[in-house]
Amino acid sequence: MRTRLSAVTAVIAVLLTACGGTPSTQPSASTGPKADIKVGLAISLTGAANIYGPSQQNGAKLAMDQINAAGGVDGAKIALVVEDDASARDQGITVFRKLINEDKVAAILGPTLSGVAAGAHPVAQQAGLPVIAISNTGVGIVGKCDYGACDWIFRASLGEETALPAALKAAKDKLNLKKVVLMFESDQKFAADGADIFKKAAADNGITIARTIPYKTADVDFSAFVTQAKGESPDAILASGLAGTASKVLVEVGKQFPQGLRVVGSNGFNSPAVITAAGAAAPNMIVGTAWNKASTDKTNADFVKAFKDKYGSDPDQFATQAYTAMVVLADAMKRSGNASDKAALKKALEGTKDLATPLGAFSFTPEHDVKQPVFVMTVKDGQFVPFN
Amino acid sequence: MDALADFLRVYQTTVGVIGINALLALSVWLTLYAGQLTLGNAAFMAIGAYGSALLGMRMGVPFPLGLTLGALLAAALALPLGLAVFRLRGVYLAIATIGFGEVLRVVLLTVPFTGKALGLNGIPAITELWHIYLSLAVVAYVLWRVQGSTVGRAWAAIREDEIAAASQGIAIRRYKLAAFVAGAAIAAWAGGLSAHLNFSIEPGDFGFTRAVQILVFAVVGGTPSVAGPIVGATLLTALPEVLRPLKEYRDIFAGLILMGVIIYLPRGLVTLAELRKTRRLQEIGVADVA
Repeated sequence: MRTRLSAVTAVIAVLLTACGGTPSTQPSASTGPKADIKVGLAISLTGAANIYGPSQQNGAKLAMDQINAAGGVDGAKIALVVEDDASARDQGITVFRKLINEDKVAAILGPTLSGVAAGAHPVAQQAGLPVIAISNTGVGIVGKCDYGACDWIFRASLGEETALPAALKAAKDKLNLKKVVLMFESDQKFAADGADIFKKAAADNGITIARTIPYKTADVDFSAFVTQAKGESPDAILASGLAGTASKVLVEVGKQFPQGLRVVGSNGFNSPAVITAAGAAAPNMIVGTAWNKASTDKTNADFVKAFKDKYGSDPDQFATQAYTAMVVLADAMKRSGNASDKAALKKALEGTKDLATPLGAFSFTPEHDVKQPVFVMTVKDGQFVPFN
Repeated sequence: MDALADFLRVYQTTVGVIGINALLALSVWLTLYAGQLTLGNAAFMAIGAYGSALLGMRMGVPFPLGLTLGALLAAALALPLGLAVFRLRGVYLAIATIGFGEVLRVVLLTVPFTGKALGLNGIPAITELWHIYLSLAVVAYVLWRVQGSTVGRAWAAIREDEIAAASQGIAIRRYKLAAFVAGAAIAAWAGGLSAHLNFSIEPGDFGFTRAVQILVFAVVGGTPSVAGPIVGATLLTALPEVLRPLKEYRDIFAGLILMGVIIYLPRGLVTLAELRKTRRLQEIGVADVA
């Protein structure tokens, strides 16, 4: 019994030391090289969302390297502390607590998933630490949050409630839409939300939705749905679905409307995979996005080139938004005068106005949401190109 | 003391989740002890989590009462479900209880007042660590004591041989049902505690993966004693955090450790202490391989 007890104690001791880690070094007040400014990056490198995390890490690291090479923030270098939340809320919360209490970071970027953010953001809010969400597009991330005040949370990723109306407005202005049909994936939360946003935007623009056609994620044959839509002879189809069904809708519309009919799609359409799968029918699509890779704007072109030079592949939207958030954060740190003063940093973030980023001129709204140009895109020769 | 406070400031969620997972592991251990393989405990956890959170947020029911009502609701649902599914045995029973979990998950995804796919957010974080560990201590003590009682012996008899147990006059159906209902109530209690620890719950938290995870806690820890599920839940919940310095490779090491335990300690971690004794007995040819 005695030996067993001591073995248990030993195991606990090992666990405690392993968990505890090393105490963070205190920034020295003396002159000389300034202490690094730590920034937490809490993302999903493993688990269900593991395809997004590495992109975000690459984007943020590139921004950090560029900022440090250009002299950092008033001579202090930025040091990213990257932690994986395994796409799980429990771990996301622990990662936030670790970054805040152990690493004593100045701000956090992340997490990747909205579900993780629902648990992790309140921790930062409670601690009074600025957070920039870099990939959460759902409702309730900034502005009005379920857990109460969320004035320490910012968002650099364009929400559906901005992108869809912009796409619909652009389509209406150019194609003079009067009557449309709405198709949506009724068993997916984000697709159902997108359908509601489309309905509101259509009403705001004086467009009649002649018919609403729900379908399911598992549906394979879309001929009946599109035939129903065709019966209304619409000016265009609005479609809210994930990438899997988006291409099927496009293909079927291409078949039944050989003369061509525009499909205004939700965020699910915003993927190179949809272009490939839809083939000849892809040019029918119109979609509102946060980023135009082909934009000739110098900030964007430089970013795309630097990313390609460093990693050997093109950046995606996740990398671009993470890069942008890092740039926005560093800019605010420079303006705040003292990067370790969290209240000053928050105030500086709130003052972000028309900063040149790959996403275009970047500002925060009073609700801390992103204000940036929406890129309404269509497809030509297998590439996203600006619509109009 | 300061070191402990610092440690808890960072790892309070992990420590809390360990306790909750230990309660869940005990809830499935209870049915395993009676020889029944059920995988419905994630669903009962969901009932406790949604029940207590909705009662608290929408109707202002106090936390302890909400937890109790959640557990009672789960028990009330487990009773008719148990009557139906205990006509099945072994893997068929497991599949039927998985089916129940999936039905519940889809209901939570569809019904408006459970928040559909987004779940419930902004649940007040009122679960304290002592709530969790007091619950765990009470449940573990009761289960430990129950093993020597009439009920415990009846469960053990059913586990070893149902027909023999029945021929001894044990009301098999009733005892099985009791284990199932009690397990459901424990799982729901744990669910209520977890909902108020993490601010947010969603239907995906209580799916098939969770059901299997709970079973793995109990099996890796070992089913011979009450300590097994607690040890298993502690190890498997702490492992991702302990291995965090390994970065992207931590899943690989966690998997290797899991494999090592199952290969070398098939009856669970708690049999580690008996290992040497068993080896010795094997050497002199007294014991079979466990």
